[in-house]
Amino acid sequence: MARKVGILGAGITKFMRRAKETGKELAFEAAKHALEEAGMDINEIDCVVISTAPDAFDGVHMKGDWLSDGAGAKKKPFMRSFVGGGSGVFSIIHGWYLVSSGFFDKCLIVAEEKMSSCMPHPQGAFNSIYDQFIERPLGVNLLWIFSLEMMRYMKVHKIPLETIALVAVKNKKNGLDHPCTQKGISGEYTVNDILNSEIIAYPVHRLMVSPVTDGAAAMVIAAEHEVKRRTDKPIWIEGVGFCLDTSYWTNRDLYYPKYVEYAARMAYEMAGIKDPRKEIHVVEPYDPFAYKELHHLEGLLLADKGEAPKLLEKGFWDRDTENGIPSSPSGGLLGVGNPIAAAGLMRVIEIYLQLKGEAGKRQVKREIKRGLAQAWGDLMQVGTVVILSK
Amino acid sequence: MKNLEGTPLDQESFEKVVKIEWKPKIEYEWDCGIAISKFLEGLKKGYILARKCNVCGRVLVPPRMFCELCFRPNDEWVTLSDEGEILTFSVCFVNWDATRREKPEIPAVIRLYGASPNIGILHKIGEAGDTLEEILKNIDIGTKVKAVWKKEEEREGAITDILYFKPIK
Amino acid sequence: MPFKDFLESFSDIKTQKGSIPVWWIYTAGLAGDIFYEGLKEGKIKGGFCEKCESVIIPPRIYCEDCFEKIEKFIDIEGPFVVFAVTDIYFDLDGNQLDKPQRVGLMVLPNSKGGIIHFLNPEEEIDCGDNVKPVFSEKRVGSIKDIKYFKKDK
Repeated sequence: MARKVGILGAGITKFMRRAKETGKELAFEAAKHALEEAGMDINEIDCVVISTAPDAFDGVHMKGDWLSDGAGAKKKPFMRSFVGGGSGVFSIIHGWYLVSSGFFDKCLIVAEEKMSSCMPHPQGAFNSIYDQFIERPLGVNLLWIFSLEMMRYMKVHKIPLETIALVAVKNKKNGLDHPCTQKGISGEYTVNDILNSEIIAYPVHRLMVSPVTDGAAAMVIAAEHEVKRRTDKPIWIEGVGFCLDTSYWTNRDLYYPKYVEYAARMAYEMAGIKDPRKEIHVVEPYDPFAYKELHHLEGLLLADKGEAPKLLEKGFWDRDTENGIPSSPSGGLLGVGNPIAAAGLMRVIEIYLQLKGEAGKRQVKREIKRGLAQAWGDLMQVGTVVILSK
Repeated sequence: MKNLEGTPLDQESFEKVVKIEWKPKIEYEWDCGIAISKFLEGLKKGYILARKCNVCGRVLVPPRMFCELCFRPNDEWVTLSDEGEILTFSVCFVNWDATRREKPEIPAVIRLYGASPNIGILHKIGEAGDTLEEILKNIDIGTKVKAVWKKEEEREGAITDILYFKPIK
Repeated sequence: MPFKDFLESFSDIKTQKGSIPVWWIYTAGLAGDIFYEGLKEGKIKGGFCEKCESVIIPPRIYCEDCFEKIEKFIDIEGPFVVFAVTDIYFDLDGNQLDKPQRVGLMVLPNSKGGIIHFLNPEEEIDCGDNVKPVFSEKRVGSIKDIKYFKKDK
């Protein structure tokens, strides 16, 4: 029988194009912050989970183990998980099953990324995700998978480029109010600004893409009795879901992320949610590219296939909506930054703060009791979902 | 939230901090395996080979010796047409290292006739124009395409034995 | 070979060559910067954890045992003691060296951590010997600013 798991505190560093700190130092800054917010000492932590994306970004082999002392894991049970971009949300799932199983009571979760070390561009490391025999010899480029998926999504549902650009407008504006925001990426843009930015791989424009970022985030979670001992306004992890699709990505119809739907269903079932559109009140879907937010909102079953863009135009996903579901009130990856694993954890932290009513200028207007954070990664394969409630 | 930690570096400060560079040589020689070895050999002879699973009936390319849905070894080799249709495409103006290209590339996922629906391969489109406007006029999802092969004596048994796919009426 | 036979026959297994053409520029970090700038000045710097009162070499911004922030950085006077030694016979490409090179792990008694570096090729240095660093004339902020460690009489 799974135990109930709640959140005791969260910490985060600034998101930066290039940090002076090493990966270990970033992990320490975030972990220490989370412990301070939770009012705890490292000695009270039973186990540590680190999520961080490819070793090739930081350029250190066995990166998780290398980061471990900066994450407080010295002489503690420690595990690292890695599911590409899905890692940040998966880190919560990972910590959750360590605590809910009864094996540990209090878990520190840290997500870190230092992408700026990789030269000439982190994209180069990512290229090795393609099949080495029949894809790489074509001279592949990471952007292709995104632009190919975006084209398919747009064409199948006949979505105008202007509507996709609206996601970037919304998130970059929301990002102005986030304390971590990477310098230079948030702002009050118009649809024209987005569409006038250079075309990287049609239909993807530069301002529709999240940046390269360094950063770290952390969270302390604990079993029910520990949470109730320390706070009378607990935030619980109500549902988790994760699912992986085949890496034969050219054999899938890319217009719909089935694996996100399966992960979402797993989380909804666990949380006892029968009607997500009524029972999820705020959502942080993964938005490394502008179209991905809409793609994921449909995969999360919060909108019918092809409907998410139309709802966007009506303001349904806006932060101050009264009848809709605010989406990416944090500003998302487009508005705050994208240190891969830390970005996913930042989305969960945002739901946590929103539910606590501590999101400051980003606090959504409508009443909320339950929120969902989702991340995505690998070769367009993994969906990871976490549902929090108060 | 309190003042957040983190020391961002702009270009000037990045020049000043202590840094260490590491340029390793990371080289591999991968075994192609049974299915891909055959596939590449087929390309050299001018054939596009696929594998068929008799349980789900799917014809799979890139070929593999097991069906990943039925989770069993699959059953036979089949040949596909070198004609097909575009499932999705893009017009790319950057190289892998983020530098800009003058002439765009057109990556595409192409479903070859003979393969099951939605079973596509990654390749490039050629002879479709040099500017975004031309390309968008000449091709779309559903456009029929045909492989343009290297001359037989120049083929090596690689995916590049097909130079690109060109749109046909 | 008839086409049908070709389909069913076993081909020679091929291989594919390739590389991953990336490299890395690592920042030394907040503590690393202090250490390497110190080497540039001809000093070895360490960190001091106020909570457990230990010296940590090379310095870090956190004590991994207390998990507290380290804000005090000090000059390490020594003496260093050789904790372990090994002799290297080949270079990184597998070529035999003319003379084996002795490498040591140098520690400061009652502190945490240590420095791995070369030992003076002109001396016979072994575990337990007191040593001190010999700095290069030209220093740039790199571990090679120390040439080697020699006996500290």
